[in-house]
Amino acid sequence: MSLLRSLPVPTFAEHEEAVRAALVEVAENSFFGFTVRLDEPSFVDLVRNPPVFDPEVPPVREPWVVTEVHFHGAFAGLVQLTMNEALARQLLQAFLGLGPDDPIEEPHLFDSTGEFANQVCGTWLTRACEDRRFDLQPPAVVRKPIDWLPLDPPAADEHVGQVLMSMNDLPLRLRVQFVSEPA
Amino acid sequence: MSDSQTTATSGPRPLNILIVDDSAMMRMMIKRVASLCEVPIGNIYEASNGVEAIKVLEANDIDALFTDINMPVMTGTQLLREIGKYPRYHNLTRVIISTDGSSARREEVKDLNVRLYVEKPFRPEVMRDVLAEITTGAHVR
Repeated sequence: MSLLRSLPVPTFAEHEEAVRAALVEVAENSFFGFTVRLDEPSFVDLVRNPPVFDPEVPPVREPWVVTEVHFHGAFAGLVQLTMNEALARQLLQAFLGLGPDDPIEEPHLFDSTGEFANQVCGTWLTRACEDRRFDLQPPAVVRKPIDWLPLDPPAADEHVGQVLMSMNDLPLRLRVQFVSEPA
Repeated sequence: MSDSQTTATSGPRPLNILIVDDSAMMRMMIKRVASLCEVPIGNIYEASNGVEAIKVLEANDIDALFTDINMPVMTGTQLLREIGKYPRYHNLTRVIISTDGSSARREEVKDLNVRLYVEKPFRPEVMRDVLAEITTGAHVR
């Protein structure tokens, strides 16, 4: 018999607006980014058709960076953030005040997306559950190839959901999954 | 673990600070702010968890400790509890920098001699003000 008690499992709908608000707060305050809420067709279009920032330079497809932070406390689950490397570079440059020509190393790129995800998760949980304590695990970051696209639908489960945004005109997907036991 | 020297200015004695965070980016960001603001900072040391931090504290003369809470190996709370056992760290200024600003967490650390609790996300000027406050004693926020 397990000594672990099952935790309550919230629905995504209960937390959707708080998750979105945390994402916007962190993007604006820590990473100086500009976010826009997207509906699914707009997000799909942005993923499939990278924006043209310079008419003389064709848009470049970039690998994707997927970052996960597991949390547990009054309830448990994971936050997953997906962005392309162009946005990951912008996060790093903004966070450290780097110039466009400053060299960027891959570990730093991943560390900045990890810090971004960590701050979003922590901010959301603090705002949503002010009187409860949560522990966050260190972020796990993986790179996905260029031909992988973050267009897979979330599981048909009320405990899973996603927020679709653009940040600095680049696609950003935040997915939350609640679970009954800590990972 | 590493350390770097920033430019010291006249006025209060430059403080040696230790930044404890498993995010290298966060450590770099705090170091960058420290180097840019007009606050007398001496050596800046880094550690990525509580165990590393204790080794740095034992080997160096540290005036102020900036620590995250959620870290692998040894958390910030465990670190503060551990150093609280030793009189030699009685005057060490302790600052928490964490995404977890919940009242439950603040309650947990209230008896750990924490001078300031900085909640992420924060703008760089917040860190500048914290550094100014702990170096001059001025209440700037």
